[in-house]
Amino acid sequence: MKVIYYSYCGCFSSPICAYLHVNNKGQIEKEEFFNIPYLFQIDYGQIKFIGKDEDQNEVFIIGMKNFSENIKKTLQDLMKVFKIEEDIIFIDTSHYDVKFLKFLIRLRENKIFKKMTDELLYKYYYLRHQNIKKFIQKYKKVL
Amino acid sequence: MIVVYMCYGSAHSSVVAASIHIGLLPINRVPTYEEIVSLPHYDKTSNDEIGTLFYMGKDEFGNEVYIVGARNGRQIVTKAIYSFLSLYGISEKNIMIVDALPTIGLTTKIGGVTSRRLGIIFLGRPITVYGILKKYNNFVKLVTDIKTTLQINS
Repeated sequence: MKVIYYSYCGCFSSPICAYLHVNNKGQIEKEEFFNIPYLFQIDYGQIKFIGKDEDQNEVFIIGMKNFSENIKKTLQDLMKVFKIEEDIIFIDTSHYDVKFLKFLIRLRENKIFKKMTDELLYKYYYLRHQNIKKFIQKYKKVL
Repeated sequence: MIVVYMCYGSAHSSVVAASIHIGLLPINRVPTYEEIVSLPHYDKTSNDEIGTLFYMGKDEFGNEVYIVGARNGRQIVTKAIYSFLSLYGISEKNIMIVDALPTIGLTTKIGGVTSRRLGIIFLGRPITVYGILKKYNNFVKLVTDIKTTLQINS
């Protein structure tokens, strides 16, 4: 089975959720947080492999802007065309995304604001980590 | 090989391009109004169906031709399709996605909005056809180029 976490940018909530899913973690420490693969890397439409979970499910992330419903429909139809029979689950993580994320990522590129932005983004995650943990566990039970 | 013509709502430009490709519309003359409006899926796709892949037919080389709508996310959808299929070892040699939207002009876009979004079909549909007939050469050139590429690749 393939599990695809997606959001508008695919570079904050989805890599966090995918990382927690693959590593079976409940919380991420600050140093580890900034080493999450593809965190803050915007690349709309590109499906990126994060790893395999304990049940050998492959976990991916993707940023789909506001076209998630379109894309999901098209990919599911293409699976029929190419006779792909594997189960795929798309998980929307948008509700755990930061508002003005693109602005914050741009701000982060500036050395003066990097530390402050990093602090803010980690704090944002930390305040929601319990909910994120429950959210992932809920889906892992379904898989 | 799978050929997918993509446009905003899979109602006009992709339908016409795919129809030329499979021989439902001529390449040596401009079609009539009736020929256009009688095409399958022409000016019929609803908002809910955007993203659905519609089969149009097979061309003379045996390639299957489909149409799909992607709103303004054609680049993202294309990238997502290619990256998704690559997970299964399906490469760009197996599928070709063609953006058909640049073939149409403002007239068809206005007609499309009037018919599909505003629901004023009796007014919008003739405008879309008028716009397509005006730009029909663009469609023929697009399809000819695609067929040439397909022949080179095969």
